[in-house]
Amino acid sequence: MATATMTATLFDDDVCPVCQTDRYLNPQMKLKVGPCFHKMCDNCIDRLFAHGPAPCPTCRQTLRRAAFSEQTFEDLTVEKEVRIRKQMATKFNKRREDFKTLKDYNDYLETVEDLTFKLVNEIDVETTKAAIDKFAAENRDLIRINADRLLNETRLATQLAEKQRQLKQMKREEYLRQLQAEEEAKSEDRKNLIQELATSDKSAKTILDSRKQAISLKKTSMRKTEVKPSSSSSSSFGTPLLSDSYWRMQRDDDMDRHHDDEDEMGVEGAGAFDPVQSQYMDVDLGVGYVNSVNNNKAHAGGLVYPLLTSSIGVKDLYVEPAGIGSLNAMSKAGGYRLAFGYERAIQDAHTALFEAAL
Amino acid sequence: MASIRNHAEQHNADIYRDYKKDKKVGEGAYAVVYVGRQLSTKKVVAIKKIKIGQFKDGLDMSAIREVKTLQELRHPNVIELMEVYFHKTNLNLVLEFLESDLEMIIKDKSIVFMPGDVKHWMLMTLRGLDHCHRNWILHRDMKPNNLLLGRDGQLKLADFGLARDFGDRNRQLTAQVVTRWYRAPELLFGAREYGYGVDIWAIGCIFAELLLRNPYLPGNTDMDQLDTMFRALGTPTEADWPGMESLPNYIKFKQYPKTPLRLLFTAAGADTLELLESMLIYDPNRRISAREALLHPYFFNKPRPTPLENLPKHVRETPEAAKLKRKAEALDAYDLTSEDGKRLARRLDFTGMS
Repeated sequence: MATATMTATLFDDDVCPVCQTDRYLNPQMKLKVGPCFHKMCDNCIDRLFAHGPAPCPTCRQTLRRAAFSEQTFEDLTVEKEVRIRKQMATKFNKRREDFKTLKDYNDYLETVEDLTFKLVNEIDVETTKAAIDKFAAENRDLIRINADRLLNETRLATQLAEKQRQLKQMKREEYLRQLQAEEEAKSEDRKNLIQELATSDKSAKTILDSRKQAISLKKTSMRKTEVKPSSSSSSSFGTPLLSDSYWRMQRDDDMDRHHDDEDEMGVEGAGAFDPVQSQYMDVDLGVGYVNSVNNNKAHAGGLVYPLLTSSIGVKDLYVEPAGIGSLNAMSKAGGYRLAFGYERAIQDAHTALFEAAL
Repeated sequence: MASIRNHAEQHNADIYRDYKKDKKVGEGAYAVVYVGRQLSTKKVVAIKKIKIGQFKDGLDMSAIREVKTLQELRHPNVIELMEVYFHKTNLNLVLEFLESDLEMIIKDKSIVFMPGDVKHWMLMTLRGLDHCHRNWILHRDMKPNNLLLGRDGQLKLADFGLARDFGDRNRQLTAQVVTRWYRAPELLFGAREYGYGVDIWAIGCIFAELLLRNPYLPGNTDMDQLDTMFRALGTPTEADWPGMESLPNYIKFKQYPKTPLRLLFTAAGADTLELLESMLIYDPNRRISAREALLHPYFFNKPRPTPLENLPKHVRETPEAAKLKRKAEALDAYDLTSEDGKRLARRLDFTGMS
């Protein structure tokens, strides 16, 4: 809230240097900054770059619309430096372990700083840019490797953060549940007490005394039971998440339930997920064949190879004829099946029957 | 006649001119692999140059097999053979270029596998293999090294140098296929007639390797391979695998008991183990098929396969890091039994103190 009002006041006296519009005339005006670090309102950008690249009205440098972006910092020099540093970081991404000694690494950082300083302050821009390009060309492979590395690291970090978040949420839910259970037990207790006081013929004092004793007993036993689950949960959830992660993901049903929402964006959408990917089937098999194989998905749980089922009537007729085709124990033990041959012959006969003419 | 020949030569020359080899990336027994470019499209490709001259019977068998099978297979999870051309006496296969493989990822211990990652890799492997089997082709060299990964995360089956068609009764197949650690028991017993089970067994070993981050059944010799296998999965009996004793190279082994997979794969879920177990069934007739595996509940259960773009990528080592690592390994290998080592060990031995 505070930041929003602050930026509003900061930019109150904004004036577009091109069309001289200010916030008083156009409250929706947005000032954007181009690569040459000259401001312009979005109307002017739309107008000037409607027909592709055009020169900047201030410095005549050729710009295009996509290069403009909203200003993050009020001070343009800061904005400029941040942008330049961002660009530099994509190329100069070497790490400590890429150097033999600390000194080499520091020297490298020093040169990067020098180059950045020159760019920011526009000293020898041409030679600096040439030096940067030369570095980028020389270290192309390394730059890509480090970019990949960064990708893997951020991936791991987000995964860990996600796990921590889930863990926290689970703990919170557990706590809330306990709280509620306690509350319920208390009210139940009170009800019972009133009931007893109303109906029993013992004196009120003895009833209350026995209550107090029961409560103190309960408390100690509660404390005992509480200790147990917390220690066991710390052993399975409190440990660093790296090595054990696999175990937890696979076994813990609770975890899976938390996962549901993100998981929906799995490989190809949760609903339409088809491990077999039948769209590739008509590449090599006839249309009629595709249908019969697809129907076999109903067999998912069964143990027969879908191609070898009786859907085409092969297995039933041919597998155990006594004479010519029977297999000896050796072939059988090797995993050969007569059905392979018959199935293949039939498939070969059908191939291209349903292909469109060339 | 002559004009047809000229036409073919012209076509071959056109293709040849369109490709440029940039850098040698690998060399095998019968081929050299280069990374190159298609000049007309700027596409990066792998060019496999097959050495011909040295074979007196013409082209090497595996080259013929590779061309023959890859021409028939088109699938997102099978490497694409883009062109074939001759240059001088060499045959050149132009293949898709993929920069890493599953073995690199498994060995890169800086990467943590999520269950969804393993699931997606298995899914892609099985999809590609199912496509081969549906077209009656056995891959016969399934191993992490031959499962290539593209920059987009897509996994593709590669190296069809041992592949051949199956199902025809009158032809015997050779049992000397598949890298030893991934070789199925029927092959180790010398079966000459077999089916898709040999590829499924290999996938089972790859699956286990993805879960363990270590080779599952690393045998040193063929005999040791059987021993390792039986130790891990129990020695099969004639009841487990009918006809086993009739296989050509059958040898009676010590009876090891079957230990439940759960003991080794403590981290895996029930559906994962169920699928793994059905891939590692001794009797090839009862072993799961690629299609059945794809329809196994494992692939439908949570967690869902990780989306392609989020799969971990292999980070190639920088030359400096590789050098440092080699140095560290040299230190690790410092032999404690050598003269120096012994002296060191004695100096640090505190057992004599009371």
